[in-house]
Amino acid sequence: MKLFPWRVFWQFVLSQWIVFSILGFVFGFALFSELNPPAAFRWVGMKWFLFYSLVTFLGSLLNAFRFSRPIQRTLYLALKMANKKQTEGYEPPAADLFDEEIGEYSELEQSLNRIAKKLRKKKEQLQREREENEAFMGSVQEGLMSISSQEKLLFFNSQFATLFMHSSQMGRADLSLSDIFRQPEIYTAFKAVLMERQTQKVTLKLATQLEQGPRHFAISLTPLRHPKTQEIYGVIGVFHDISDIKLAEKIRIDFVENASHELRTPLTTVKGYIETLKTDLQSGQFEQALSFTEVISKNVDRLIELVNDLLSLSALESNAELKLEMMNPQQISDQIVGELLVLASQKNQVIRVICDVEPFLADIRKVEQVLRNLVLNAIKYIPQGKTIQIRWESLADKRVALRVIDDGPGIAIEHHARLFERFYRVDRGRARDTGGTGLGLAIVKHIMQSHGGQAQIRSQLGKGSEFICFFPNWNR
Amino acid sequence: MAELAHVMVVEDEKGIRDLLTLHLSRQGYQVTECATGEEAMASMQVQDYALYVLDWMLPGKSGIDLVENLRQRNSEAKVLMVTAKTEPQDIVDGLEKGADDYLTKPFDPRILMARVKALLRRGTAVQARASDIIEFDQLKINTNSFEAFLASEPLHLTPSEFKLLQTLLENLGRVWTRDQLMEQIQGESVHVVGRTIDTHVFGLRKKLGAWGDRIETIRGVGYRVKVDLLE
Repeated sequence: MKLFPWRVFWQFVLSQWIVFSILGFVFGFALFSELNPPAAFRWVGMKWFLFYSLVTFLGSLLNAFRFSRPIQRTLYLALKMANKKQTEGYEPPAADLFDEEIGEYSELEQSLNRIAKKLRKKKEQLQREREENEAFMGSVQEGLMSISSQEKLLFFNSQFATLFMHSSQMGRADLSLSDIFRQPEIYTAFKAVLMERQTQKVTLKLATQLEQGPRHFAISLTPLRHPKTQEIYGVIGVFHDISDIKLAEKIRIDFVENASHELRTPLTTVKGYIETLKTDLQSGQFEQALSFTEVISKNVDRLIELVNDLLSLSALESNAELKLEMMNPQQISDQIVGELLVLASQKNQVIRVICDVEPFLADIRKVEQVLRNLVLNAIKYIPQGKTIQIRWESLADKRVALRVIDDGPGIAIEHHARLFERFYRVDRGRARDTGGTGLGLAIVKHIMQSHGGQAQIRSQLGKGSEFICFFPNWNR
Repeated sequence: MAELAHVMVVEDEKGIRDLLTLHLSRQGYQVTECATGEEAMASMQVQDYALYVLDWMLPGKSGIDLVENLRQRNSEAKVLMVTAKTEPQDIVDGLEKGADDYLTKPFDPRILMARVKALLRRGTAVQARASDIIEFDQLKINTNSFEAFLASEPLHLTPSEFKLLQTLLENLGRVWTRDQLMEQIQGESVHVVGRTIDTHVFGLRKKLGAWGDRIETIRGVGYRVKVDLLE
């Protein structure tokens, strides 16, 4: 009989039996003393006493059993709540006719039942909360982790594991901080949190398990405190990847530097020659005056072009909205060719237009700019007598390709990756003489991206160049 | 003598190069033009120049590399760097690499020529080589006896102030960074907070009175003695 309260049972039995036995003995003894029977009767008396003893013993057993049964059920409930293994595979016998409602026991049983129900509910609620927490922590982009004040890793989310943990480390339960990070700055920060009992924030470059090499992180470390004692038992770390932000910053800084240089250069010429002109005119020297004004004029034009392109690029970046209209590729190609024909014919260059594409939705002004920039580049950078083709094609995947092809000297492969960068020049010296701002291709790329397409270069030294702009298959 | 000095101009932007050459030749200097650092290196091997006017941002070999090469050859030539970079740190870098003075773009050609003249004048009229006496515009110091006189009135300078003044006078027109001045005064590379130099300059200026206006503070960079009060 599992869980039967034997101790209580036997205590019951013995206490009852002893009491009855003593009573019986005292009574019997008193009776015998009074009656004072002869010796033979004494033996009968003994027999009766023994018989009485047996009966009271049996009676105690029965009685004790009756009282112990409800205790057994109660015990079962209590142990079940405490989740003890002894309760496994055992069902207490249901209350039967043998056990009546015994007052407080049944109340106790009912209370225990209620407590058991509450516990179950609480457990389910905790389970739900835990799942919600895990889902939440698994979905944030930051790496999250917590460590004890002895630097043992307590918790980490999947993002943290992906960033910093080796696959061999995932299953281990006893990882410490030094197993994951080598940089001393992390330890310094953790120690600082423990000592100063306050959140610490640091920005560090950390090696990761990802393939791109070290990345920049903004790390926030917060102490975990016991609610009552306020003692710090651990630290939570949030690792926020800011590499992209830093890269964007670097690009912006580089651009400002480049733009500054590009602007100051023609300004220097303009300023210099104007001062020279002033001095010369004041002293009556006119011989070189005209050539000075020509240089000034040329450089002012250059500044105008640069300012226009810079503003253009800025507008493209701040307002990426497209004004979509039905655009006729043949028409805009003819228009651009018309604009640039004079320049091309000065260099004896021929421009051909081949259009196999029906009108489609695009921002007309911007596509004109793309075409203008590409054709102008071709005219400027290829020698006399060459041919430039403008081809519009429908591709198999319903995209449209605009190709500007020339049979000029081509562009070496090492420049291809950076060609569309702002101010990038293949040959600084030559580019200066040819004019241009260095922003033409950056503008082309930007416009294509805002159309949801892309711009590419295909070229080899000695084999001409092909600039391709892909328009996506919208609404066609 | 300055009129026949040979000057090299290194600048990749033709408009600016022509401008520089124009003004230098008008003053009577002999000018050699180079569009790249490589051309400059080649010319340097062939002959010596008294002054180099260098653009800092050159394609290929940069202005800084050129200056390093120059100094390695132990050249006594002066270097005037012309730069579009206006951040004090960039200028300090250039000066510490060996440039004697700098000019930011865009510049006024008259200031350019004033700086050129100042750099080329150095070491000629101001100090007789064997003498301990340095004179400039009513100021006279004796590097042996550590005496200083302004318009024949004796000046009472502290040793640091004297050394500072001597350094500035021995290299008129040159821009000195704070670190360089510290080195000159203390004789070794000590990384003291640059403010100490500021204190010395302040004291020196006070004692020099009106002459002290010649000591020009260049924010974030250092100090220079103005040769031409035109600036």
